[in-house]
Amino acid sequence: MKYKDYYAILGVERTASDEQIKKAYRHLARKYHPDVSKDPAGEDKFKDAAEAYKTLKDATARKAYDRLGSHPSGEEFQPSQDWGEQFKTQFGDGTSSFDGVDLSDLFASFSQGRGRDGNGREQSHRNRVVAGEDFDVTTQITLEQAFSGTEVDLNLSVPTYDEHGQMRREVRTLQARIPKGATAGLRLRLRGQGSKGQNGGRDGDVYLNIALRPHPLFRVDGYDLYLDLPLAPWEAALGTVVEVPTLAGRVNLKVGALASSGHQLRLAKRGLPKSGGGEGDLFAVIKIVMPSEISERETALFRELADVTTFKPRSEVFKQANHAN
Amino acid sequence: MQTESHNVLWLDHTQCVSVQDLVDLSGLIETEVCELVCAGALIPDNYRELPWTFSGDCVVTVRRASRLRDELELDDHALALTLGLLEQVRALEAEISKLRAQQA
Repeated sequence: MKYKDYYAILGVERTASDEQIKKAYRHLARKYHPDVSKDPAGEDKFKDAAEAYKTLKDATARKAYDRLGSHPSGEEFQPSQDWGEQFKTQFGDGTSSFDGVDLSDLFASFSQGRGRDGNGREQSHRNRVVAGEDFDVTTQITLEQAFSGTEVDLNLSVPTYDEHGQMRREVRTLQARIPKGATAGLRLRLRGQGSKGQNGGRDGDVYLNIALRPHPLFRVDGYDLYLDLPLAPWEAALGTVVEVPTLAGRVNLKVGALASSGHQLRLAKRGLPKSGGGEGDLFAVIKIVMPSEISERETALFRELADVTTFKPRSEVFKQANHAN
Repeated sequence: MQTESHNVLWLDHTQCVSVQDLVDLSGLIETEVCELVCAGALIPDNYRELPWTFSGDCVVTVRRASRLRDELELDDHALALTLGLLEQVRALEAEISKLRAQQA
């Protein structure tokens, strides 16, 4: 198994007091807890800190950890036979080998091995009721997948127990069918598909957090979609009919005369399908754009327009600003 | 490696859950769930009637509460405050996301 330096993870000396260990953990937890941190690497850092704290705050587990000796982080090592003998009551039945066991799982079975029943009596590892582990997984899907529904493969590292009660992990692939109605931030539950409970404990669940991949055309707000609709100035002035893409195919959209930048045209029920039925809307946001170059003839026509128009686009805005001053 | 295919349950307003469901899925005890309701961190669909029922997204809230309580060692008051602040952050992020989506 690979050695993890729990003291280094928490940033404390090996001689640190319980109070110093708790303080160091709380500092890291505040910084990296996935519910409060925006750091993409925060979750892994928090898991390491939580694993280290869980072991070092328990006097017996800390003693067992210290007896493993000090190794460089990541170095492969095996606990000695003496160590297995000394702490065998805490790990399975003590007869299992440590091959393929992760250090975190070794100490997780340590705490499980010292469980108590409802009357405070020691329960042996073999008959203790243990609920299966839940998994929280974020999966990224495309807008097209959210629109039509999709299937995703989830690779879970689930704990299994050998005949001696020693925990090991194996990869299990779950195929989850995500029906129409998923959008960013929505959670789904796969009941009973986490790890198996032990001795009558409930099976764990899998919680799926949906994230949407950015789309080159559409922006998403809940179940509504927004699309930029570039228009030439003369299209905005005279009105036009434009073909616009939607997730269900192209549709013709009528733009009335005298459209301005920022105006939104709503295409009802052309957004994402909702989990409870119905659909969001698609909004085409008008953006008046100019060509990067114009011909002499076009320039002349614009000059002619400038000469005949009485439109003063800034007069109202500046008048309000003058009143404010 | 095994591959299995499974359907999913929405955790949103289309699902209705009980206090017992929230207890079972979060590891909190009933009193703690009720304290979250009293603190305003959890809002039943039928506050004035018993038994309370909740929207499916409350499962996400109580699981978060359970994690925060265990992993940050928060007491009930700190937990309710933290959940309230996180909800404010979520609402602000949703507002920013909406404004960004609308921006041409």
